Amino acid sequence: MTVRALLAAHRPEHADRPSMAAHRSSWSSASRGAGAGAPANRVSRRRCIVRLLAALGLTVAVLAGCSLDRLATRTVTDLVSGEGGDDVFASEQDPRLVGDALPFALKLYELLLSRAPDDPGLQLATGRSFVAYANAFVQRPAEQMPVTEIDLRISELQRAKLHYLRGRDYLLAGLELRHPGFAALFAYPDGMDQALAMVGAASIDYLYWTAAACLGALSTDPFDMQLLVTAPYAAKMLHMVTDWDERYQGGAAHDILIRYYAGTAAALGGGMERATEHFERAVAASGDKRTGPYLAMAAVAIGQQDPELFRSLLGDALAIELDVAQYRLQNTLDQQYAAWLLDHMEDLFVEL
Amino acid sequence: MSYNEAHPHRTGRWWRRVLPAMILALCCTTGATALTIKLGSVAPANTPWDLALRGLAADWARISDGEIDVKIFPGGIAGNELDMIRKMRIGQLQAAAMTAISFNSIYPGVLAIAQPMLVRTDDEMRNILEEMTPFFNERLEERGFVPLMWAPIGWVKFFAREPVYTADDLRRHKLWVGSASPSVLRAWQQAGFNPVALPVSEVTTALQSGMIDAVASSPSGAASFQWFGIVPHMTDLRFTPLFGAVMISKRAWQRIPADLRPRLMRAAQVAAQRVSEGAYEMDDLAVHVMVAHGLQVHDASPDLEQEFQDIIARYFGDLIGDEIDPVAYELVIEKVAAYRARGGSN
Repeated sequence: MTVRALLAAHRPEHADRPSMAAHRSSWSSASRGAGAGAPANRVSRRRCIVRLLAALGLTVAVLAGCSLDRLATRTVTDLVSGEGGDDVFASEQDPRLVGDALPFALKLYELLLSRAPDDPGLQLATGRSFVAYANAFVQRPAEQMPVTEIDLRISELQRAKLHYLRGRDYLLAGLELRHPGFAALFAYPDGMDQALAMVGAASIDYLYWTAAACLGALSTDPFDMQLLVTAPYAAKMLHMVTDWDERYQGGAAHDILIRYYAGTAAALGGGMERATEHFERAVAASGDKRTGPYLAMAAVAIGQQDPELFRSLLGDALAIELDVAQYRLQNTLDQQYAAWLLDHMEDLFVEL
Repeated sequence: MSYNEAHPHRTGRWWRRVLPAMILALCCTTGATALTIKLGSVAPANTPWDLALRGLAADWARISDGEIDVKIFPGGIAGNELDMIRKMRIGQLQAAAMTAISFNSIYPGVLAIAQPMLVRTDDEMRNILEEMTPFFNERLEERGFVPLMWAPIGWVKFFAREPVYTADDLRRHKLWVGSASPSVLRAWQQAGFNPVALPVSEVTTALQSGMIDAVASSPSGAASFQWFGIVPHMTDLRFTPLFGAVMISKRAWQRIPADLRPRLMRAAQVAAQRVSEGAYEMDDLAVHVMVAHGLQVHDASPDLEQEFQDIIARYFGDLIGDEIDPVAYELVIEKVAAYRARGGSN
């Protein structure tokens, strides 16, 4: 089935969007925030983030200055790494606010980790935050820089790679804490399969973010041979994620697999057919509420030099409403990027 | 006569007549003088080669005060190298970065330098390529293409299922030799080898099926495609040098103001240096990573080098004339001899 056919097959769902949106609006207090009261909620959310970070910073500063109170560290650690710790960011509709806040949060996580290095949840929270920061706030802006900013683009891509790898290392440390012996096996090519066999579905977050970190770093430096030869293991992690939970994070693992298979030679198991299959699964898993599948497939359309498909996919991404709290930040960022891509089509398609 | 007809400039009709002319005039003084150069490359985005090309685009924008806008189309989205040559001929692309193999389809003399076992060291390659550049440039320009830079980018080596210490060791393998022409295949066969010609996209499958069990490839190629997992023995013999170039269509080059061209050409040569250094670093890193993942590297003994030089001299000579311009080949031979006589590598 072609991508175009798939898109056509999804049209009826898009036509239903207004009624779906109306239905969604009664779901939760978070989704209610996207309606007429959005400005008030935005201010409230900003205050919430600022207060949270200020409180955490103050607590950690006090702890750092006094003898270590392990219980208090535990409390703060639970706050940032437990349920809802990342929702404060994911549901934000002002990406700049998050972009400005994340560097402080990253250092805060690292400070906490220095006090509680044996906490796998904190390793996970730190790792995924570095990966998200590298992707959304370093790599993507770098790739939108004008050609005259090439030196800055190169240095920002190097920064993105650094943070992806830093995130990956925290995530691997978390996996080692949960599965002792994992790191020693994973460090060697012959042991990677054995290491992954140790991991169960309870570690799904760790695998998803580790794979995202590895493939994200590779995308900033596609000829990094070390990353290149381990890329199939990252893809394997994503398949483990989708095997355990097809709808994990609304099918986000499929987004990465779309790009992975579109960029991998057929002889190595890649190709358009597999990329298209993951696009279809991503859209289905997300309930058509995430922009991610469309952005990933639009990147494939550039490779295929199909401007019609590109416009169609980005149009679909832009039509997605921002009413699902857990996807709001990513969808907002993606829609900004989609608008930028549509404005720069002549830089992406040879025959426009 | 109505008021509007009597005073068109007060009702907007005056503007309707003048505005198109003004817009046209603005285009003539700004946009129309800017020149867009679409440059295709098979190097994926964000690789060292891609970034070097983007650096070249930035340099050209700076040198021309923004009048030359080079748009890079990476990752083969403008097609493979032969597609890009075709698109340059019909004006869909103005420039392309590509390997010497493709240049040979424009002028069958470029590969004279890349005859197996002829050029032996990195220094020799750089020197001979630099000396041959005016000769190649003249012949390519006659055919409508202006090379902006040339860059050595590494060596083809042998990767095999079993160690290769002698030519007979390699003869026991089924060797992938690229998309070789019938003449090249015949030369390999006459020399007693089992060559197999395939497009690069089919090599992994052929290795997995056993159709081939040795490849002639750059280390970064063997790592990128992960061939080394099946052919884990690399013989460190510099069999054939690899080099590439960026060229622009003569038509586009002539649209650039003549006074800018020398500065643009110099900027391209600086980019060539970056491309070359990046490529060699990448090959070194590829070997390092592959060794960590099980590759075994075998030094090429002087006996092995001599054995292959004899084989090439005896069986591959017919390619000169069939596939390679003999004038170019003789000139390369002269320059290699002169370089070695001056005390260059031996």
